[in-house]
Amino acid sequence: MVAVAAARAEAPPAPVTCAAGTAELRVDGLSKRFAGGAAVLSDVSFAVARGETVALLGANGAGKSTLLRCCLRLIEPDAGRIRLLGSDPRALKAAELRRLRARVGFIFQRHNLVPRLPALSNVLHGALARGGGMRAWFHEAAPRALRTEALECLDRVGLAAFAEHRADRLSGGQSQRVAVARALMQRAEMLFADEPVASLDPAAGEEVMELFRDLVRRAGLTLVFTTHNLRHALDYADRIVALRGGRVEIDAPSRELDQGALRAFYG
Amino acid sequence: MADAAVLGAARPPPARFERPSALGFLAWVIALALIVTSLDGVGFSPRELVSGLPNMGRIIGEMFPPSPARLMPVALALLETFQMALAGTVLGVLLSLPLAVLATRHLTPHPLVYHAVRGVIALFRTVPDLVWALFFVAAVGLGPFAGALAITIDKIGFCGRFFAEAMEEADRGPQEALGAMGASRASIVAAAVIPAALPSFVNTTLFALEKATRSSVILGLVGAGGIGIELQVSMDLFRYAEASTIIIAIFLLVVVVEQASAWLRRRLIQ
Repeated sequence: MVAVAAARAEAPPAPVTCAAGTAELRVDGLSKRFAGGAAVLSDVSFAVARGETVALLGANGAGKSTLLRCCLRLIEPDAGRIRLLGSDPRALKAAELRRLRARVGFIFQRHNLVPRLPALSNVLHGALARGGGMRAWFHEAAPRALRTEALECLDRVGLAAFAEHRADRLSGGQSQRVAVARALMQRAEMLFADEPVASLDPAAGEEVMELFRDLVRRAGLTLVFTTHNLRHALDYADRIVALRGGRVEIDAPSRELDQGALRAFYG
Repeated sequence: MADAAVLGAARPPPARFERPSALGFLAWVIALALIVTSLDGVGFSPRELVSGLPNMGRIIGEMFPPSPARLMPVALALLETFQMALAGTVLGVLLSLPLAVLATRHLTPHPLVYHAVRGVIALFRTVPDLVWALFFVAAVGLGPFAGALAITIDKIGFCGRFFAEAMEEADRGPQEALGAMGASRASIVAAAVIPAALPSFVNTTLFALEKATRSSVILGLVGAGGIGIELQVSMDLFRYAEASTIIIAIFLLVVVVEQASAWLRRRLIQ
């Protein structure tokens, strides 16, 4: 396995090809350099098939978070092509881009809930871009159908009883589950999770990863997550893409890799 | 012994006071000169202050006991003063909110809009409310409406600045999250920015109301309604007992507004 990693480390792989029409995300030759700094991404190519779970690995500064953000144009890439859910985010106008973003749930390391609002309002925000508009600002103003759906999303992550609890009074694990419920409220087809368990204790982290696995299996979601936890990458991902210095160094099915190979990659 | 050697070798502690640079020393001299010339400019005279003390004593003596003769007109004028403060503050807060969004660096639609709105807010804030009152008395005539308008403009300047600063300081994480899921700018402001900045908004609004209550007393002196004109007439006619009633009424109004505002602050900011 180490040999596989070493071989891949020596020669960056060609872009993974998915059967036509099944790639939810395809990135070709993506590059990004921030003003006055070194290149964060250099000619990055990879693809994610529908229903696949992909783990992005790499040391701090390897470009994992930038890569996810570029895919949604939260950060503007300098070069390269992106195909996300059948659209090219770089070619979309503002309103079209918002509609595309609404189809992708983004889970942040620090969950990024609105702290003073109850969990239910935070989940309801998932409907903001899919026509919820003003009615999805606060649960008090939302119609019954939206409130019911938001409560169901909370129930799916096991937090229906916490609907009226303020987000800033929830534990880290609970907050991250509310963030997942918010993505479910989006009716997202795909999830990006940027180090979703990095700020959680091991037990809460495991709970959140199990929740992801459950969602992928039951709802057929596609998941791309970044992590430093090698065991999570091997246990929960179908495929592992590892970045070093903004370049893809490993792109292989997780069953072909082991902890030793990944540790060797981290050096 | 070894310890002493180590201590001896250690670097000496930093000086208690830093020796000012030549430029710093010059700045101190200029500041001192400004203070001295200001005291001289206002004709500050301890001798005149001391010689005026008997007069002050006489006026205060004449103020007591306060006269209850015009209690009802004073109460009505006091109510009008509070109405001016409340109406002006509410209008000012409502109008300052959209301006503050435009004056928030990361929420404004264009840098030109940002600079233009910041300029308007600065103008409203830097011109004293008494000057606005003079302007509105000339425009809409004597009375509390002119006073309420002056307070509105003053509060747009006051709240606009502090609301914008509160929104700039609000945690960007939730805003980024809503942006990532495709929420519009208006939704991000309403659902993430305003809830995060709400404690600061409440604080600023209540402080603005306290400030407006105090300034609405003064606005009466230029004919912009309220109890100020009552106080001026009493003082001009040497009816000090009546003036003391008015001063006590003003004091009570300000204390009640401050206490109510402190109570509201505790209730609303948790």
